Amino acid sequence: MITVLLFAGARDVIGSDRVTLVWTEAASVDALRARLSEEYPVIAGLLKSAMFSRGTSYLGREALVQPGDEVGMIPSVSGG
Amino acid sequence: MNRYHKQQLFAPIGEAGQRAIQHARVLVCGCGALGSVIADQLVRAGVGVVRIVDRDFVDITNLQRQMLFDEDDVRQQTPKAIAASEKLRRVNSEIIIEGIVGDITSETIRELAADVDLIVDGTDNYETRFLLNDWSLEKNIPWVHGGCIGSYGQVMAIVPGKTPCYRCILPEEPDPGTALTCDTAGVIAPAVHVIGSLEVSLALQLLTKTFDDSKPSIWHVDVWRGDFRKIDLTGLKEAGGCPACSGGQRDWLHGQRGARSAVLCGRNAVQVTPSSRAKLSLEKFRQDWQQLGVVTSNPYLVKLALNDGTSVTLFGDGRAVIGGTEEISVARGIYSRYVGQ
Repeated sequence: MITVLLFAGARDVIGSDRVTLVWTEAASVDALRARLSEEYPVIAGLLKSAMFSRGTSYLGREALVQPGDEVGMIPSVSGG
Repeated sequence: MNRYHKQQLFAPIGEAGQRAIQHARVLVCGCGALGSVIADQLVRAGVGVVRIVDRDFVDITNLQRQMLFDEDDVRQQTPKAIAASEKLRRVNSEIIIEGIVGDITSETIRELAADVDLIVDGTDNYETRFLLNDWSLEKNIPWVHGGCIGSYGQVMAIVPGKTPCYRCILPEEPDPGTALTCDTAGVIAPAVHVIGSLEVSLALQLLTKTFDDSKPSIWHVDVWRGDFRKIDLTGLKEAGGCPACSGGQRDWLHGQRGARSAVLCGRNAVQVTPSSRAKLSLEKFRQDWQQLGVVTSNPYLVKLALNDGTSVTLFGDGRAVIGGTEEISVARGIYSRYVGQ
């Protein structure tokens, strides 16, 4: 399992501050993005421009998410 | 006692930092909610030249959060850059404050940003931010990015060659409709004040050469829930692969990307820009439009309010804000009917 902490618009749209996913082996952030998009189509648009983090570190597209990880999903913000 | 006494007492700034601030030239791009906060604090801090550029005029829905404007500005439809610069000149008459009514495009940025030391982001859209990022990388000028919506926002300082750039964190412009806008999610004043203030904090660090570019980060804040997250971006720069700062692409600066029409955030309006810059006689339009609807004007714009609820607000540079629609095609139709081309 992994836990995805949801921030900003993602939390508002899903109505919860986290979701959990069955995650049996290490896979990339891009794979996580695809998986979230599939399971939560309501945030598919936000996922395209969201960034991911683990702890306080940024996770690039190729970074591996391991079973047991807690990662944050932070959609980009464009207003001003 | 000089007016900057308390700021100079703050050790990281000190007298040397204050001198650096007073010698600096800073461009504030966009003067809505974030831009108001940014311009206000930069002017009070004593930045030598503060250039404020904005393409819009003051609307009643702005007053909830855009701290430099009031009901007189709404009545007179004062362009934000003018309203802001006039107010701020009363705050600090010892510096140069330039208010410029206009859009920041791949053409105009060459004049607007040619001579500045720093750019601070008060814009409300991705496109202008990608353009600022291209300019920053091309000219080796730092910029501070900030964005805000609802109760949250993000802030990041970009120093070319040292920190990741805006395109590192956002490789492609999000498709229209995929990101939240303040139309749907709204925005509250505490969020814009916090985000704008954090941008100025970074700006002052950059101007006083106290910014630590060895620890690049982006800050995410939610003022409603009290979340403050600082994400370390060190790995991002090392990973490389950014089309802009590693690959040298300047798609927005070279005009390959970027539209000539833009839906204005939260305004039920679309800005239409002519394909080439114009210098219009606003007086002529003011006369020609008399038979068509209610015409109002000030030295910077002429507005035609039509019976069907739409409106055309035309600026001297040929741009128009078409009110009452968010459809670009409808807005372009109205533009060609009443302005021409």
